[in-house]
Amino acid sequence: MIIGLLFYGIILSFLALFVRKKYNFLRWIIFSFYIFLTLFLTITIGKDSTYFETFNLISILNFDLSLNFRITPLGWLFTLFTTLLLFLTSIFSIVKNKNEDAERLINFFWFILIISNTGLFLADDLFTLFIFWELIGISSYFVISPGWVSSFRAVNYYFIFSIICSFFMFSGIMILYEGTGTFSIQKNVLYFISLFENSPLNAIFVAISLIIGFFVKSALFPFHIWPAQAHAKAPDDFSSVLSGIIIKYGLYRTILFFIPLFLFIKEYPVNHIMVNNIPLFSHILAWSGAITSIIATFLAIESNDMKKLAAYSTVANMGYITTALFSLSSFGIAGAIFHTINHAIFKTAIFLSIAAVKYRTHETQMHKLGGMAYKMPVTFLTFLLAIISAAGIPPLNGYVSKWMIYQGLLSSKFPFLTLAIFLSSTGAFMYLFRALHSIFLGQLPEKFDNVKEVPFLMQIPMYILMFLMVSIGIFPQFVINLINSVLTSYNISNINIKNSMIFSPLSGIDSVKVFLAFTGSFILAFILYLIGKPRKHVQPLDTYTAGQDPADFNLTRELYHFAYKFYGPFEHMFDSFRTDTKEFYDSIERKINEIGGYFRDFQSGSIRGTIYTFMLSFVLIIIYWWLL
Amino acid sequence: MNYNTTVLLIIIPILSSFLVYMPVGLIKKSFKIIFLATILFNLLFSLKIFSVVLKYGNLITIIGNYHPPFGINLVSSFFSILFLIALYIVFLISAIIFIFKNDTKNNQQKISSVLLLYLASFSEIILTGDLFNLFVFFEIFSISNIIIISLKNEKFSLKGSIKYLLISSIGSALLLFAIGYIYAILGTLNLAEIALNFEKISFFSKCFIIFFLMGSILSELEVFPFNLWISDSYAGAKNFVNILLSGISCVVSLYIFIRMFFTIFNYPSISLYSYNFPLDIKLLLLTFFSLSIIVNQLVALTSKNIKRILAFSSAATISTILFALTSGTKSGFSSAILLIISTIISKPLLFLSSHQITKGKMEKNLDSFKNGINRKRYFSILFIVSAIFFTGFPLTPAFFGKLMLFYTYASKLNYYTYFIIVIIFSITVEFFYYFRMIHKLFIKDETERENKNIKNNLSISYFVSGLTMISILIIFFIFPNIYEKVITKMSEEIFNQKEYIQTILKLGEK
Amino acid sequence: MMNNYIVRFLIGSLTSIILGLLYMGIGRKFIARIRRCYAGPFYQSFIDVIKLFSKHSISHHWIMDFGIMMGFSGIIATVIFLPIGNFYVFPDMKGNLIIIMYFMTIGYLGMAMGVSASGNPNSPIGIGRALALMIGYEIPFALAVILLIFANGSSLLYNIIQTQQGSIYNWNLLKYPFAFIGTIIALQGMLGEQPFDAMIAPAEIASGPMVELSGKFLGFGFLQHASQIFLETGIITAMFLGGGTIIGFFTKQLFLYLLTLSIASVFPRFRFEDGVKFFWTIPTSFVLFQLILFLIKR
Repeated sequence: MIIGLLFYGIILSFLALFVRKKYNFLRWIIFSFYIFLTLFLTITIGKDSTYFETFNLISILNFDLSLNFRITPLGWLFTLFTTLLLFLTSIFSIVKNKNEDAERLINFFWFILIISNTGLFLADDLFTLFIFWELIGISSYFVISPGWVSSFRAVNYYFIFSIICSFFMFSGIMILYEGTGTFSIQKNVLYFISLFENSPLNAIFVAISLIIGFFVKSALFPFHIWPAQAHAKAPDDFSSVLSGIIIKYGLYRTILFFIPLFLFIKEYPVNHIMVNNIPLFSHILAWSGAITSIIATFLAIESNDMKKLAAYSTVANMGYITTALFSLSSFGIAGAIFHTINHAIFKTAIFLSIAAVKYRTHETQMHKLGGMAYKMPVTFLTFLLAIISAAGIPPLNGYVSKWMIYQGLLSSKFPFLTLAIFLSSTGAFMYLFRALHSIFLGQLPEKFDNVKEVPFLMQIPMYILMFLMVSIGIFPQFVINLINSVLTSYNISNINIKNSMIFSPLSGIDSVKVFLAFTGSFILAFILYLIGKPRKHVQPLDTYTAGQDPADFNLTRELYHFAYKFYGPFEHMFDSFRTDTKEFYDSIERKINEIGGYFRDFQSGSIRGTIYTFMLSFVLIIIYWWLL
Repeated sequence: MNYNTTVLLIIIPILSSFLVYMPVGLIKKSFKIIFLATILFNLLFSLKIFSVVLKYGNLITIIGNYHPPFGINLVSSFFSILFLIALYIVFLISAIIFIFKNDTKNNQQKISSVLLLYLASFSEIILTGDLFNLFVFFEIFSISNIIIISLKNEKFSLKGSIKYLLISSIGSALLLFAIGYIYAILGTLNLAEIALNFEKISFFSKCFIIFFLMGSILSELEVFPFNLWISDSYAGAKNFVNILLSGISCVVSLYIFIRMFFTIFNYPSISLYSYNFPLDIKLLLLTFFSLSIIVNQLVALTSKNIKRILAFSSAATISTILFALTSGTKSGFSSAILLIISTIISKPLLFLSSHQITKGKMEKNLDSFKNGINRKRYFSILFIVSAIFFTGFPLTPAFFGKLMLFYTYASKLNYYTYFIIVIIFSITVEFFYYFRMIHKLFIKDETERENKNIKNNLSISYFVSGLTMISILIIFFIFPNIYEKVITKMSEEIFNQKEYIQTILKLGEK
Repeated sequence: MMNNYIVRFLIGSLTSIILGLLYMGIGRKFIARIRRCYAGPFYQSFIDVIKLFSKHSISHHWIMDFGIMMGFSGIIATVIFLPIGNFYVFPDMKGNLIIIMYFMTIGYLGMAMGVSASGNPNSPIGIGRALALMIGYEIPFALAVILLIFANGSSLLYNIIQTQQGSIYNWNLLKYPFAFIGTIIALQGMLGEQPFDAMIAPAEIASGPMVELSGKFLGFGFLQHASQIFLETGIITAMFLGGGTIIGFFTKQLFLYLLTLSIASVFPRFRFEDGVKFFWTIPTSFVLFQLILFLIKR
């Protein structure tokens, strides 16, 4: 069935390629339909099934390369929410791509990407995993930059990191394969654990090559700069997929590989250095997550491009998730998985509302926008709920997972990791409010007076996303029960949840009551509002010029929009600490180009030089041999 | 088994290289028939020989009834004959392109004669059983290479061919030294007999022979720093010459490398040990080839000229193949063969399609790729597919090659394993510049509108040859088991030096 | 059951509003005494609020109305989770500290949203300063919270209060004096009193966030500030001063508020980035010192 799904997906993707430009909405409807089909099948299969499928691709040179798929609770959960969000995004795309440049190419490669998405999460062996991983890397190259000069540089950051990561991972996989003789994930993980017992040095080599792979994909420090490039320059609807879904792949594999390993070491800590009851290696990785979240938060505060801001916010969230994951407590792991899901939801909402604003205004610099809320109320509400959720404010979905992360970190006694997350979480509030203010509130520039709300078809996913954010915030038990089955499959103790009441070692919360408390207060506020004398509606500029016509003073609304360098003095505080990682990578690139250019000129040098080089190097080789 | 007609593979091309001058006057054009017929004969006859080899094992051709180890003899084994068939196919394609091209009309006759010599020489190099013949035909091979590189009569091509001339003559000199030295020590030039006695000679002699033999083919193998000719030669040569250079010339020298290292020196188990000079030849070669991979990829990365990019990318691949061979294991060998298969098919296709895409542009640099998908849709798709095949997309031969390469170096965790990082670097760079080129194809060109009047006629010879190669690629993609058996059999043959010696020398004892 | 909750909810919210306003009135008198001048009666704040609600007001957009209401309701909803003496609105969530810390932000967010919808550039300037200060004082405060959670093995204020019962020597004030000092300084920032009142700064940015508020909107602002005083002093009371009975709790709150005011009335204003720097150095190192002492002792 899964094979069939993937196969028909490929056929449909080619079919969609031949739809004429005039009827291009059909192409996107086929696309949405396929995602809906995937979603439908995922739900019908169900998480508890022990469904297994294998397809003998080839067996070549003693390598048994077959595609194996298995429904595991974790894979199923990831497939479910990614497919759901992809479906919502695809509805948005139908209208959005109507006049898009190169949409045919975008559609084709995006199709390949969603096929690989299903394949990746349901894969049962490393080879299948790698194939789909590679497919995703290559197809997202052309979705981000379908022949666009503007996004070419951005996509290269993404692509180079992506290739490096996949081949480092590949070398790790091959070393594991050498030991087990099979690509099966379960056996390889077991072998990996035993490798840590038998030959730790080799195991660390494998672990590092795998970790590089995961960290690059999940944009953790020091690879945290590619999202800001790629997410910002990608097609607007694809940014949400990049940020909500693609960045999670590294995380998924981290859970697959490292959580069993570290849990095993945590259980039998013989011959291992332990810090705070977790392995040292795990502790270092947790810190790398914390550092990522802090750095990305400050970068987000500084950025003026709204897509860049959202991208850095994604990186910061990946930081929390990683930290929570490697704290290795059941609340930490469950919180990490839950936050992954929540983050995907609210980040999709943020990016879709940004895409909606850009669809109408063609502007990404925040200080040039403003007052969009008065023209696009649905988009505004989506964005508002999404940032409330992203800042972890009750009663929306983000707070449950953040609360769980805090419980996980605090109950296993990590004071400084918790502090790091507190810091970046408060910072998150800063930059998210800044985005809200600069894009949606403040003064509406005159040139945007005729902006309208986006078409209804684009609003549908926003409504659904708002519903999701609110309902998961009130009834988190539906998701937590799914996560519990994941925890069971890893032999981790479950989250204690009764109806909507979650019990942690430190405290308990009842999200329905939290919601009711807020609703009650709001009703109280509303009653007070009604009691007070009715308000009068006045145009904003009217109050500034004491009743005279603002035009007499050459006052425009843009002049009154305070958005550029919103936190200017605050940013100046860090001037002396600023190290530009992008500049670091750029300098590497320049160095490589310099060396390459030197060799290039050398290659096309004079004829005489050629002969001298030949002779000299022949002699040098012989000398080298003597020295060796 | 004795099968003397194999010699026709060499005799017929040499003969017809003189025959092509015969038609004059009205029937002048019929030289094309002779030319194509010769190539077709070689292809078909090699297929016939292949079927015989499959039936009876290695075939020994004895000329003048001098049994080996004396006299001239040809050895057609499974490995060599398959190599030959693959090379003939590439040669046929490039010959078709050459014959149906308009701009070489004036001296087509002369060039076809050179090309036939080229054909004869590489057939002999691959089939030969003794070193002296190898040397002679290697010279002919180099000379014909020089001539076809300089065909274009431009600054680049002349410079390139002169560089090639000088480098290859130094190489030949080194080869001659080595051959003389071997003859002086062992008194024979028969490969099998050298292989039999190679273990017995002194440490210094071994090293001397290895270095000189290697030095002679390094320039052909495009290994940095001996590859200074490719920069100008590829850029200045005609398209069909590029196909020949990338698809045949370097592969032939790879064949020589494999024969020398595995058959003569018995490479993985070669004992190069003296009490004070332990030569770790593996480490030497690994560092050497790693350097070559890195430099070639860097040059390809920074070059702007399309042909140069493709040339250096091909050079880097050859170095990667050598890197794989250096491991000296069966899996490394299989990896090398897979990468060779990938190179032989995709590289000519890349040259062909890129030439067509940039046709009509003044400068053949990256920017001339712009808007290729709308200008030349067919060739752009060919380019994309072949680039994907070449870079090692999953389930392509190159991918399996890289998989085997990683497996080879991962299978024994020692310090050689860390050389994998070189491969990762190389793959990353390679992916980057190929995707940069593909990306260029999709960029809309604003200046394009003015030149809309350029004729967009599809040259039928390019079309057909592109189609042939792409179908071979796709067949390999869908049925990988075709080459699986071949590779198994090849590695069995190559890693069985004893059998090679026995089949040849036993025949001589009769 | 439901009625029970509603009654408790009303008691909690109204107490916070009334007492907050009362503290404000007393605070005015207190400052007047320090400055040797006169102030209105202690019920002046009540009069102000009633007056404001009965006046005309202007609004620029529905988002402004919505934001101001959301700001007020956010603070009220947080007060619901605060233990008032030994009174709890939700018996199964007796003062969950993490929820309180996060719920507080919705009040800020609502207020910020409302005033920035008013479009006056002074208000976002003020909000920007307020948020930047927030990242400053959250650090020492969060550290203190982490310390207490570690010490008590629970993140409920109820449990923290329980361990401080019995004698004054059990108070966290005496157990963790440095943490208390750090937190008190953080409280100064939380309440936006001098030296950390850059966000209001009437002379520079015309009261910042409040610049465009009038009538009942300003009334909401007043109420919100009142509840905020109640809430934030309440948290510190519960954390360090042992909570106590209803009367004791209120007295301690008032004491804390007056302490804050007495500091405020003798200090000039920090630039806000200097304020952030200050928070990240002095109070943070106090609390950090205490935390490290605690970790070593354990």
